Amino acid sequence: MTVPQFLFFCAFSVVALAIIAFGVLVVRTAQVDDGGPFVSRALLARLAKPGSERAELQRWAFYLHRISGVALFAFLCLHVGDVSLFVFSRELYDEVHQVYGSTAMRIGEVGLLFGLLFHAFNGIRLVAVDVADLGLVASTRALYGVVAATVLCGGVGTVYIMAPVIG
Amino acid sequence: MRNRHRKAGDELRVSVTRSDAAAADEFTVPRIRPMMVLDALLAIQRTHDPAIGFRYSCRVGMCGTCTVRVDGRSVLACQTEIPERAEHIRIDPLAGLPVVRDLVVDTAPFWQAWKSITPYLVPDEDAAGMDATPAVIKPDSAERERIDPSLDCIGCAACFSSCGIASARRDFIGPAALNRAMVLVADSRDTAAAHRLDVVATDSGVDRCHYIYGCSAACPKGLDPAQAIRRLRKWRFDESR
Ligand code: FES
Repeated sequence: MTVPQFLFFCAFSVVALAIIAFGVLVVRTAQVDDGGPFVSRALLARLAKPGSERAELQRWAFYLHRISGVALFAFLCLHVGDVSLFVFSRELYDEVHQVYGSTAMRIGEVGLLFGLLFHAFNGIRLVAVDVADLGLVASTRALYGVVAATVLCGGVGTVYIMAPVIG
Repeated sequence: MRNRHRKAGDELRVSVTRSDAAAADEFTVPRIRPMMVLDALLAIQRTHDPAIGFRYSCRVGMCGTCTVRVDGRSVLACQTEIPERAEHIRIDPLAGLPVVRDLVVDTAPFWQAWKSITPYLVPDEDAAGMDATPAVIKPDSAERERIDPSLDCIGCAACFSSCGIASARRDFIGPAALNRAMVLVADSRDTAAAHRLDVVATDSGVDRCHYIYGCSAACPKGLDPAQAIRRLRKWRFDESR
């Protein structure tokens, strides 16, 4: 690994750590500030029953939406930085972008893909809540759709991203 | 009337958030069945610590003073039965409101938000008065059907505490006040709708809602503040409502 590649990898690691730290912060503040139920066996039992109790999932969708939003923004900033290397030197750009092909970076890209898909689909769901006037139960069902679409598209994307290093 | 009985040796552990760090916060109380959260608090007050701070008044879910968080969930203490198999519960004060003592919170921010939307009917000056004909909204009218299901708010602040935005002190009017605003904006006898729609369209208004649905899920009276918020979001742009 060359010095520019190492520096880029460090920058990516810092971004990843910042995202994890933000995720922890969101969940910790939620526990103090947010009047939602704690994660407990009782909550899981309630979520297992169909009906309005499952609306509680939307609280977690909100947390995930925030975390994925910050993650995408943080990565975008890094990505603007590494793409702009082309302005300085084409060789430097190619050298740094080889890092994207490493296994560790590909795992990060898979995480990013899932974040992007969830954020996009959930954003569409939130627009649909207004446009189609979705109530508590309908909106929860739409959330199942969001999760299903994220898993499906993310799964296909994962195969494409990881295939070169696995196969 | 339900038959209350106690099984011998049956106990419930209750953790209560105390504002005085030196005060006891773990209690064991005798289990009765059925047992409301308020029963547990009264048992603590009777047998362990008379100084424990909590509020209640009517005990029938009408006054909205006894709201607390049980295992994180905002509920009326007097109306919430402790699950049959529970051996331990944790009781916290409401989220998003300053704690006065133990489980007693200062509800001023909640009522401040309530006040901001002019929470009373402002009648037409000419139409009001002793000689005026009473204005009627027919029971089967669309207007009445919109208003009626949203009327029973008791101001308990369970929705405020359950809202991930209002409870996190993010400058949000909150679900109860917005629900009240919707009721009055929908009322054809009211003349302050334009003012209320201006208030709900500010940065602290309806656009702060992220549709977490904590409010509608928590309301002990079964109201749907999220629906009121969706309506207000549309009505801002729709003169014909
Ligand atoms: S004591 Fe009045 S609502 Fe609970």
